[in-house]
Amino acid sequence: MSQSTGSAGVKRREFLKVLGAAGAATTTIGCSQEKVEKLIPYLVSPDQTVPGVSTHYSTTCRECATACGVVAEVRDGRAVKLEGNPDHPVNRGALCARGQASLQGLYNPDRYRQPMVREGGKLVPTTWDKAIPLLVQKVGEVRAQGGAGKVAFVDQHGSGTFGVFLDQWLGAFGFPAHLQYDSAADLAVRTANVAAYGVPMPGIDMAAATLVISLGADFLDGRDAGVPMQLAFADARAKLQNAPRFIYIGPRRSLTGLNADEWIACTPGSEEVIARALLAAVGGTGGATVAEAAAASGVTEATLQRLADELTAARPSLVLSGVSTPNAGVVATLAASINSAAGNVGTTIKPAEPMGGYHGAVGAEHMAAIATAAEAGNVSLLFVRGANPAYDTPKSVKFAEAMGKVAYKVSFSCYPDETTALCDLVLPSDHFLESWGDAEAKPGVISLQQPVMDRIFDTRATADVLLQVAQADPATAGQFPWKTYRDYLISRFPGGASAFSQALVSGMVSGSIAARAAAPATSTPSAVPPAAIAGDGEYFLLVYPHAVLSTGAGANKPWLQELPDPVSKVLWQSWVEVHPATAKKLGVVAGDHLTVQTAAGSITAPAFVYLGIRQDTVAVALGQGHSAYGRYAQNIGVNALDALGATWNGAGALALTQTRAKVSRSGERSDLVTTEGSARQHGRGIAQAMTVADLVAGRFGEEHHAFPGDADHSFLPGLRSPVAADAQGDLADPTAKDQGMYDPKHWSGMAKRRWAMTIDLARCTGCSACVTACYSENNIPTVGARWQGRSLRPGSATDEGAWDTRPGANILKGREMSWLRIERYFEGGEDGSTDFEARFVPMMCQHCGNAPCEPVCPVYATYHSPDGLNVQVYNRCVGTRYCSNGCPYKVRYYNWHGFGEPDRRQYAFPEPLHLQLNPDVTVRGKGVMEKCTFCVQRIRDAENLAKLQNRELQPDEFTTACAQACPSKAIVFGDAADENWSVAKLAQDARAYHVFEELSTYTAVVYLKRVNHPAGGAN
Amino acid sequence: MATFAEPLRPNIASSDVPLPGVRDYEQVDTEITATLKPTAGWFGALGVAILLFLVGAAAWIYQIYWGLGNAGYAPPVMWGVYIITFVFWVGIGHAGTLISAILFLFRAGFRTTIYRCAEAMTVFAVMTAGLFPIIHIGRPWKFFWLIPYPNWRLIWPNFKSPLVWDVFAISTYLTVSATFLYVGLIPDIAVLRDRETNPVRKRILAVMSLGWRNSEPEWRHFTRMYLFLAAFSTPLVLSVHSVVSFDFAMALTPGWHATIFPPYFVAGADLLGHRDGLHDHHPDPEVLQPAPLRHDQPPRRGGQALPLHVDGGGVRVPDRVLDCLV
Repeated sequence: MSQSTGSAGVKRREFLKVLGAAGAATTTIGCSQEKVEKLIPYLVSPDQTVPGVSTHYSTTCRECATACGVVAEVRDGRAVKLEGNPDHPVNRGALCARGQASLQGLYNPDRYRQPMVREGGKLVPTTWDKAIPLLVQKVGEVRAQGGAGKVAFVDQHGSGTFGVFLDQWLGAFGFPAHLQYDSAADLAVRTANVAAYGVPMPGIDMAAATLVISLGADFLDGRDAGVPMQLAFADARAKLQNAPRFIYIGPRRSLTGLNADEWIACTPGSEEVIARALLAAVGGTGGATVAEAAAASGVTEATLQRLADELTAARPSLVLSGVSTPNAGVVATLAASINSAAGNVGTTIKPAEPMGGYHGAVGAEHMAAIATAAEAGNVSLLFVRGANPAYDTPKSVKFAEAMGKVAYKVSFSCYPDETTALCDLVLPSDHFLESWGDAEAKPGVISLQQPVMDRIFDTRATADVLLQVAQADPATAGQFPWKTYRDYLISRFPGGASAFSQALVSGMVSGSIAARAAAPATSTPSAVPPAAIAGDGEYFLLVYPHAVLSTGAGANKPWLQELPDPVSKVLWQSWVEVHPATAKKLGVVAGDHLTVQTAAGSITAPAFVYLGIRQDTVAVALGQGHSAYGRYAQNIGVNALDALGATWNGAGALALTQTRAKVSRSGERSDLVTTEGSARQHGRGIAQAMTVADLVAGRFGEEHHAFPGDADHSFLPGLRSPVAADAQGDLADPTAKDQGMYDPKHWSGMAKRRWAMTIDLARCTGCSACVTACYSENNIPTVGARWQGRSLRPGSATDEGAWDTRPGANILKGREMSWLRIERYFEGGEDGSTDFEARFVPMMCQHCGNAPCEPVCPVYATYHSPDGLNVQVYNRCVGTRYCSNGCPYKVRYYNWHGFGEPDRRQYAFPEPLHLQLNPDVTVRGKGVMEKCTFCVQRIRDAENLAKLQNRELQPDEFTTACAQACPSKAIVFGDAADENWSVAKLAQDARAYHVFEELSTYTAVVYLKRVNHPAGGAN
Repeated sequence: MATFAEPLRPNIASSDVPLPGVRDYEQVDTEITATLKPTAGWFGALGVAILLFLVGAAAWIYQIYWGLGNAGYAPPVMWGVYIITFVFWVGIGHAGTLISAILFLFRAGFRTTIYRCAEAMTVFAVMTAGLFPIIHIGRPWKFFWLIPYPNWRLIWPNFKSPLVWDVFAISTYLTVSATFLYVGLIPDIAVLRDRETNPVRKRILAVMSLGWRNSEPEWRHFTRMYLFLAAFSTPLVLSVHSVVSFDFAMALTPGWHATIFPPYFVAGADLLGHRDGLHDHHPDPEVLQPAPLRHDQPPRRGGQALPLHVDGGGVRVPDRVLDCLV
């Protein structure tokens, strides 16, 4: 090798120098300027958490006092779904809409995130280190000033150890026992039941009855013990020819009334006279004749006589009462007497098997007493937990004003509400899904409540806060040696900590919780005769708790606001129900505003024309008209309590139907936000029914005739439809070698299945729990909030003129996204008579074998899977919307605005609602179609699990979200090609029919006809 | 060819009618070439058009961002103004084909004044029509999934869907109409090429005119090609709009699911488009109607007024019928 120093080439050293420098430079450039983050593998995972696998925890729902057992599905430390606990004796696996929506309470964007204290007139955030000492100080001050006897603690209504603990705590400080306030409870019935049967809520065996008469008892409207009553009702009606006939007596046909075979529309308050006549008929001392009852109630004497005769002949029967007039206590007592005289006690009324959890609630009368005491300066300290008396008491009670006279007010509420807005200290409680507790759902069964996830915000369980306060004071510290409430619970639990942990698996244990001290006596009920319905005006005003929002608690949850009221199908709004004849007289159509004026005040809301109300009555639901309850509730609708005064029903509750009113047109109108297309079927045969007589005689209707060229309607495994063999490609040719996934012999076995669903209309009550369960499971966006509607004017997200801020603006354009809806059709009553029928049809994607949506999609975003599902592929959909043109059921929904995109104003899941989203289901983007998938994620999950465990899928191993939630057990889902699944047998039922069968869509959803029990029929 | 009676209106394109204003082809060529020079007014109109285009583009971008909810659809009505506009523009395009191709086959002489505009209008109308399905869909950036192209996903579009049939129908129609327009233009571009002095433009025109030399065999091929395309376009018009009507007829929607749709659409399109195409275009022998640049005659022989003879007599659509259509 020559050493040519003068050569033009690169020398070796130079080369290595350059290489080194270049290499260093490259690696330096490769270094990022960003923060260095560490990746730690999940070697040590959090307790009981496998990423991607859900853990299920049993707990108890506290949305109402029924205390249903729930199983919370928790994924990666977040609760994503609530389901009923199948082993729980109260709800047996079902869960109502309010229970499902409690997740939106847990993840509510308006929830308090830390304690708040009032400074300078406003509530400002603070810390627990400051808040608890502040409370300790205030408690000390009150005791030092001798005001210990003037403390009031208003708690929510619920059974369990907490009541005992709370009274213990209050007693230790010398405070009076707490009150459990329930504005929705029917206290009159409970008081009467205690007097008649010894228990506030005896067990009801509807299946044993041959006749059920409801005197205004709305047990299907989400009232007391909603889920167990609905279970009982549906089971009873499912006995078809042996089911009881159900008659509803009341001025307004509630959801319970719509499920009745007959509605007797009596004048408000006249239920008492009718009850007296019935009591006389069954041999008791009623004190009224049928003629007197007819005169007072406006019902014909013939009808009432027939009713009396039916009651006398029906053994056993069941009479329930639930009127909201001032004479409610009298009516309840009469109903109990009828049951006793008719011999129902022990058969249909079972005092020995009572429903638990309904002891000792007080009503608005006690809140009025607190207000009066506060005005007089006799309330030194007010605690409020889980109650909102400033909202759900009438204005004349002046609770909000009275609160101003209370020296110090403490709220434990999770959410800002009207009462908490007036408080001085807010110590936000953990949600029930984040805290410990228990409930006595049924005497003898303790239902345990445990935190299913870590708390989201800086909140604390109220019991723990109280313990800390007690321990801060040396005088009381000795009585409360437990560090946390959990320790307190375990200390009272038979068997101690280990038994407690074991019981948490099932969520239940047998036993009973020592009752707390008897509830304070209500106002003297019997001495003072109940007030008659008085007032100026031509019409009776009937106010009732909203079937979904109850007395207002549900209004801050978008799922519940977006759930159409089962009777009127109106949502995101208040409305005034009027009879068609009344509407004509007033000169209004649906949507015209009516002003309802009483002595107490007036309310104005759009009219809803409804057959199910008397011509001399108007009805308004409670629950809306909040002034401070979060973004979903604020300034929506009207508070019906504004028109009511402080008239009680003798048991301490507000008499909601207490006055007459003047009703007039206000001159304005707004479109009624409703999902109802048409109230009548116009002969389309969507909701079909038959009478008991037909059922017994085997006359199943002419809908079963065959069409020319009609193929066999049995479910064929794998194939789309018997007439569309060409859709399967090679499968049509038996000699073809590659049969693909559509071949039943394919290794995946998919084509062996045929997923199908039956919906028994004899069981469905229209409660809509399934709708909310579907929203929860499938990440369905709500679209009706004020900030989600656009006007036609272009503009940016902050340009208010470009937005339609009416609540439900998108619903007005028909853009609701509910994959499952309950359609409600009326039959009969075109002449305005009370003799009409309501039929409820849950309608979702029918997964048609011969689907009109599948051939028209240009990009194969929807096609038929080998196992019988109509599949929707979100990331293939280009949004031509051709599929929904063809769908005769109109069950396809389009994402008009990108409701699933976080940086949009219309985003349906503002933080932290997005934590609830089910990770197994896509959150759909803008411009794609979506529809019911038969919960395909659950199907695949179950199939994968079976495969991992090397076994076959068991019959009825899993089900869809809607079927699981249904308190009527109306929906059954499964593999219709396998006779071991329940659905296979049900689909062959003689009552079975398909909707729009004549279109040859070969739906996988089979409906079973409703069975009516008309008067005088074979029963 | 059937016999015909006394013509109700003179056929100006036949040799029977003298046109005093026209001396020879040279004059025709000069006058028409002169109209191709853009004026200030033309630029003004172009400016307005560009402005409107920008407004439209902004509107479309706004719609893509906010989603189709801004278009005001109210379910269960899922198809609205965009599909209607699409159908409308396809129909308009048919009018052009009607005038240029169908009337050509019918030997209607009066078409000569307007058929070139009509044919160009067809091409642009079909392009406009093709734009609207893209505006209509919810994820327009994926519209190309409707076009069958081999891809890694190994998936074709759904050939059972009428929207995919639309893709084929409209693209075929566009291709054929564009070809028809272009082929018909070749002799005229050649005239422009011969008169052009700017070397760049001359080159472009030369390429576009495919070396047209105005020779006898070239003319023979030209007329045959033109006749073929006209004959091809005619059933194409019927089929394209029938396929567009299948968008509606193949859906199960009541009112749409009917067999009347194809003839309904075709008749409606031709009626509508024809009206638009022929409105105020009655040939007026008093006023000189610029004839399209044509070299459909053997080369002129020095200054003599030669008949602007398109083709022989023969079957003509009775003027009365046309009157009632206009």
